[in-house]
Amino acid sequence: MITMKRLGMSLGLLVSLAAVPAHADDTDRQYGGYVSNEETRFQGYVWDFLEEIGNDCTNWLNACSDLQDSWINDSYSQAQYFWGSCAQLVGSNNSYVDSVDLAYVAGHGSPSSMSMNGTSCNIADASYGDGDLETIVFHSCKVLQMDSAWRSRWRSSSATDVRPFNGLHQALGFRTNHNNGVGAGAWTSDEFAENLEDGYNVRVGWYDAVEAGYWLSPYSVFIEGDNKQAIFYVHKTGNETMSNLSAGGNDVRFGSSEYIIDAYYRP
Amino acid sequence: MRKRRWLVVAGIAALAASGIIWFARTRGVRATNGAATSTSTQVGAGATSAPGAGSNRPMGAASMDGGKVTLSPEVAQALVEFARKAWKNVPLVADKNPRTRGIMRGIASAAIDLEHARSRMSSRFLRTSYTQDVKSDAPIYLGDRWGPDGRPTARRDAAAKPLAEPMRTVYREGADGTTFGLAKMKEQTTAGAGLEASAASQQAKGFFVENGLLAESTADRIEPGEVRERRISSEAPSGGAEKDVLAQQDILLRRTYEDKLVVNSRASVGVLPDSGEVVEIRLERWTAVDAAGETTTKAPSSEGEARSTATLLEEKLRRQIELDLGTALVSAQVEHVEEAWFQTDTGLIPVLVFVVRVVVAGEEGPRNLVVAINPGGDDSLIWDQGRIVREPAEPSEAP
Repeated sequence: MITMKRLGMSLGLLVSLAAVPAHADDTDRQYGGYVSNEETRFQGYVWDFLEEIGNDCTNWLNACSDLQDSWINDSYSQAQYFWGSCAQLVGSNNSYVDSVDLAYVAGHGSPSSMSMNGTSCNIADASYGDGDLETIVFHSCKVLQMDSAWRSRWRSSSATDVRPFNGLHQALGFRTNHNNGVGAGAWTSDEFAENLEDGYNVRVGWYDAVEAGYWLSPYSVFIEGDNKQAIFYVHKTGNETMSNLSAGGNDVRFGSSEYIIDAYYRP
Repeated sequence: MRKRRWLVVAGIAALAASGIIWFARTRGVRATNGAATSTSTQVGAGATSAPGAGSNRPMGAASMDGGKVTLSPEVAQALVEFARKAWKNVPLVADKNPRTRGIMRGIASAAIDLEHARSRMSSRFLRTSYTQDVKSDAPIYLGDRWGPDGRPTARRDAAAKPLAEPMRTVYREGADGTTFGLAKMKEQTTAGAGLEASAASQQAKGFFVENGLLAESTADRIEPGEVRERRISSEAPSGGAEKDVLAQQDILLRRTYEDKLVVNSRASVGVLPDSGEVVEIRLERWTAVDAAGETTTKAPSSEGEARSTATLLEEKLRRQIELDLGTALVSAQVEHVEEAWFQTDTGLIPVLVFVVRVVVAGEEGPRNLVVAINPGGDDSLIWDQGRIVREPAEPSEAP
């Protein structure tokens, strides 16, 4: 059965789409994964999310133990699953993270920065949402750090100021270090996928997934300062579920009176 | 799904041609990942050099040098002391789970119609999710009570009121009868200060105990854990002052058995600070024990035996650090160890939990890593905790 499942995966690889730039919202429902090669666990984080979201137990090639699946399995498809590079996040992002509705990125992080393949990528210079992207997950330390300048790194202050929220609906991640204690990282990405499948809104889905992932470490030994999640989001689209992501027409950019960036976070 | 099936048919021919190549590639993936996931990895053996930044091969996939891990003298001594003692397992009360399930279902029924909700079985967590967009809602409060049959006996406001918008409600129930979760996608409409921490913990404990979900004994204690805040930082629409408001309080209880933490038992409630409504309930792996049935798994050891056992425990610890970090690890200093319990399907077993300060290639400065080992058996019992773990597929090179 495992072999049959792998055959199914191989077919997915055979038909995986080439990177095609997306210049606007489209009606497809796609997700993608981008993995820094700097630690093995990053691969697990991204794959566990992608595999759960795409886990269609009614497909005869899949070796699942149940016969019930989520509507997401039928409606969404995996468009990309790549070893990560800076170009995918900043520069050529319209062919990569900004060509899908939901992008899941894992690697080492620092405030508004991700390390991909040993290179530091400045997320503050990215423009997300002018392509297809609505939701991006940074499964890493500190990318969503909430110091006094956080909004200025994420929100445009003029029509020419390039910042990530340019049609992007929400960015998910950690405002502190991400302590992977006792498998919590992979648990979190699994749980996040399940929360989306069960119709949680994306914001609470991530928050609760992080809480669930740290099922052990906060109880055994309390380490102040680690594993605190944050979600930056456009106020208007703060309650979106995955079914809303590709609807289009909800993008908000600089100049709109609805261009209000909020944060849902654990202090 | 039809689309996917069509793709399957269309891909059969291509699959036949690519099958041999694919299997060869898959074997390669297994071998690479095996070093990172196998529990039988030999410390210090088979180390490979990390690839350069130009390669996209994972840098953390191979075995590391065990000499990178150092133990503080206090930790080393604590391992010997633990090894010197007798170890025991404490069985769970056999018939507790069905009763807990009945009560949890009774409480959940105040928020979701389980008869008509959509159900989905998770193949990852071995649990069933019941989901429903409810059109009316009767709030649950910490003072509400249900009887052993799951019927309400005291509700502050049991009358369901219509909602302006449907509200997604999710109830989850583990197949083993020990994990339950209820979540209402409901948020506060006005600001509130919330409950003071000790009052919050006391009320949460009352909710679980007086509803028959948890029980306390001299040895098996329910203690205040933490009251966590969820906050929303709101940007003012037209240059006004930013607002930062409390959105939810998550009240966590902790369990101790013979004064040591049971690390995977969890009971928590999420409460809206303005109304005091309970919008989340979680109860996981917190089953009463049958202390009379406890069994000794290791007798007290002599000094020599204890030192040998401590060496084996240290090896297990090193292996777990290796599994977590691979060759990305630069150094690891084990700073603290805690003796604790872990609830398995059948009982409480002793475990050791370590705080490790690690320096990892590519990261700024050292960070913490929490590692747990099962002194008497397979460590994956702790790390996977019933979750089905599948080997990850390797990403492709981007075009």
